[in-house]
Amino acid sequence: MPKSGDHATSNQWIDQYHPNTSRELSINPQKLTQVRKSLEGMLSGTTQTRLLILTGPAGSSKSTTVKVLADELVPKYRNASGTYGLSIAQDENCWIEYLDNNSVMGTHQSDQFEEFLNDSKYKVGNNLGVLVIEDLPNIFHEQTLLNFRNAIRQWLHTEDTRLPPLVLCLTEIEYNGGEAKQYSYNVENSLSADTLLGKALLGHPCVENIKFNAIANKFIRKTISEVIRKEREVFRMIPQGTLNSFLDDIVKIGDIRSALFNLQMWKQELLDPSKMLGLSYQRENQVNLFHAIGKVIYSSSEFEKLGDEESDYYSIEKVLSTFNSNNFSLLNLSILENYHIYKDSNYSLQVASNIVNDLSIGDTMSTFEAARDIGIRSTRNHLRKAQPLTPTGGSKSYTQKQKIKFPRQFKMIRQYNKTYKQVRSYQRYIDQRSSFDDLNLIDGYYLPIIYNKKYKKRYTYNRLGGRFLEVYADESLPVVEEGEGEENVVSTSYDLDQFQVDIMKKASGENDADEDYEDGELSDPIDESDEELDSDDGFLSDPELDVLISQGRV
Amino acid sequence: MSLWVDRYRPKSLSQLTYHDSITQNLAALSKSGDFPHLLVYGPSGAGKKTRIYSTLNEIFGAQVEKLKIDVKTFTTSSNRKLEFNVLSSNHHLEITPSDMGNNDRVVIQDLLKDVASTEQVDFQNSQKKHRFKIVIINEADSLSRDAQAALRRTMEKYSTNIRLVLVCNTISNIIAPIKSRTLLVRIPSPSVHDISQVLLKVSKKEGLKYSTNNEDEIVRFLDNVAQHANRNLRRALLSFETLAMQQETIQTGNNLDILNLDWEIIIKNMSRQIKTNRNVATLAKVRVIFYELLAHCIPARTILKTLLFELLGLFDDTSIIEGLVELASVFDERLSLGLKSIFHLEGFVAKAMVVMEHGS
Repeated sequence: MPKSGDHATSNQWIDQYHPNTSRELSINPQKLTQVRKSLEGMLSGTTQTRLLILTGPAGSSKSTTVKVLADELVPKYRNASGTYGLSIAQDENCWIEYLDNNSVMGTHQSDQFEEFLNDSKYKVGNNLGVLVIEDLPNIFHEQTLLNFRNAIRQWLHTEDTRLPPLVLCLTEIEYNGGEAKQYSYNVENSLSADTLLGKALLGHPCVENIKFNAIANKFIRKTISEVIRKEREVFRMIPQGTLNSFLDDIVKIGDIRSALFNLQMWKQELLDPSKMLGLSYQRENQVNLFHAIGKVIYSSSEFEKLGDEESDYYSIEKVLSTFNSNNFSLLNLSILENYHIYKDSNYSLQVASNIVNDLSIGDTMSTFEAARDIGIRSTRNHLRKAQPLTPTGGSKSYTQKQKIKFPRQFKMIRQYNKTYKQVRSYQRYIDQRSSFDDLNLIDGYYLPIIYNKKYKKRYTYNRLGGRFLEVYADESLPVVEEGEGEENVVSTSYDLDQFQVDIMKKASGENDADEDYEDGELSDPIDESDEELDSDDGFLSDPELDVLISQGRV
Repeated sequence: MSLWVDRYRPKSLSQLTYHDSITQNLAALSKSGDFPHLLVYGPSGAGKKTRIYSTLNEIFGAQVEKLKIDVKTFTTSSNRKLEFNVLSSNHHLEITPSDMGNNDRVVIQDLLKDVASTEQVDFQNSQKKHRFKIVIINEADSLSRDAQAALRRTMEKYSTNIRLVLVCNTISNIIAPIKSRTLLVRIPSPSVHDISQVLLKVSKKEGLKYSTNNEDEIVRFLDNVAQHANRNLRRALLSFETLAMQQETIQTGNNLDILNLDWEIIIKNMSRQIKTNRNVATLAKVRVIFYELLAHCIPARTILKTLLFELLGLFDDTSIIEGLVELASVFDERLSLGLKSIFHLEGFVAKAMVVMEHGS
């Protein structure tokens, strides 16, 4: 297991100048104190926190902070709690990292994480250590993801009062999940604490989440000047101005790792006079969805100095080049969801109709790569020309009252699938002869009115396929929670109604019922269900029903 | 489930009440003992399925009403399990291709081959020599192109053992080779009078009481119900039963607001909003409603059509009406070409607002 000392063997600066004490960390001191406090609380057992999650962009010193702090803090607590054999314990690592290992035989891959946690439980007392999870199991496999969440949940609910601190370092990223996954937006497209753990786990009282930002210029600069001081022989010959302008460039992103790599590469170029000066190897700062929408709708302030048209051109170019091009259909949807927030919708219909029209055209040609940006370009172009209809005081009165929202398409599709499933199962079990649309459009409305008057059943009949629900957009990314996507006819988000009882009844009686439609009245099992329902214990003990009843949904 | 729609569904050709000439043709067809593949089309609630089953009844006897449902599984080439339902009697089976998604070609071919390879042996009716089985394909207009193309060969190959009956609303999505290999039977919507006669019959059998004894007034009331149902018999019967459930005696003077379908009301309110508040903020509000409708599996095309007709009712100016109809047809096409209907629905509304503002 690598310890901080091993870094010396590498001649990469990133390893050579790896911080050994918390003072050397390139991080906002306030953040450091926050993490230190949480970690101390966990080590001493004075707080109930059992899982600390550190989230933030790449290169913001998340893992380094934990490891350095663990090295500093853990020995203190070992001594404090240990009553004997101090020297043996001292050799143990102060932190243990989870490594996902594909080649381990005998253990199912998705169980590895759980096993790691189980094995690590003894890391208390004299063996005290901090468990660091940086490497994740293959969470893109749904079952593995669920197992992962389960293992964490078990950890949080373990009876043992003393557990080693568990720290999860998560680099939040967005990427493209491939065309096939476009129906939903979850861990496939965006890795964040929400999508990884789900909202329920994240809100657990034993979980603490500390968010890291990209490292501020001030702190990166401090670290880098320290490196430059140590390597001063090399940097002596470089004019201060050149150095400063290069540093300005590399600290901008707030990624200490990338900055150090760049600095070292740059140095090597300088030593070799044949190379061009100032070539930058900076990583492109990927724009996330919300930034991209903002840039399209409000244009980017980055190019403000240029003329309107040029500024727009560069803003859009920037979005197109940095936003993941496979996700353009999502971007188009998001623009449709948000174009109206510009100037608080106070602009002419003509502009709006042109935008939507172009988005619509773009959608009809989505198979052509070249056509993907029609809507995006058109939106910026038309919004530039948008003039407020009614002058409202000063020009600064548009204070972005409406927030950028995530498109509802996926929410709608989820709702659609639920409705579809319910109407289909009604068709399958109750009324095979009618078409889906007839049932949904016509019968779905009339039947509940008729039946509720006609029969006194245990539950009332609701609209077939569920009530009409308005679908609103969210400001944050939607998260797939456990239980969704399960192949149950009855989904917990429905109010249980008599239709579903009828369907379940029919479905369970399918095998022995010899349906006779010729004389529908007498032989139809549904009609007899009034009395049966109350007496039939076997049916009522249906676990799903019990869950519903216990949740007070019935 | 003894809804009136089911209870009073005609079981044989002689019970059918309207479209007499079609009924006679079907009767002639069933007497001959043999018939070609059929393509039965017409608006929903016109009585297509009822006529098909009546014809089958004529040919095979009451056995065709003894339906059982089988769940068949089919493993696709990508090893995915696909489940779909087959409704069948001894003499026919009925499938709905939209159950099968993109695999409809393979599934249908497979199924038909299966049916065709087992020859009908019918001892009871052997004198009539019905050596074929009927396969009813519902919603045939939702069959994919390649499924239709595959079907035309299958139709010829197994024509000794299988008769296909394709059922759909419009034949514009059916490829020409299939149209040419089938006998086209169009079942138009019944007239308002046809429907009110059916309703009158039902009300007599049910012994319904009206608030008036004046026969003319009752017929006028039933006409009204039929009108409200857009000449869709299924809908008319359901709404009639709904009305009858409300009160012991049916008030002929009552307004029929309860018969308006929930989603139609939503679209109606939306159309008013579009007319009165023509601005960008309304577009955002309308989007909420579109998503609401789409989430409830209301087909985008139905939404567009209903919205157009609601809007047309709000304007007298012919230039605006022309403009709206033209826009609707443009965006209707885009619904077919595109992937996400929300773009096109909102596009229609945005453009429509501009037309209302300036005329076309």
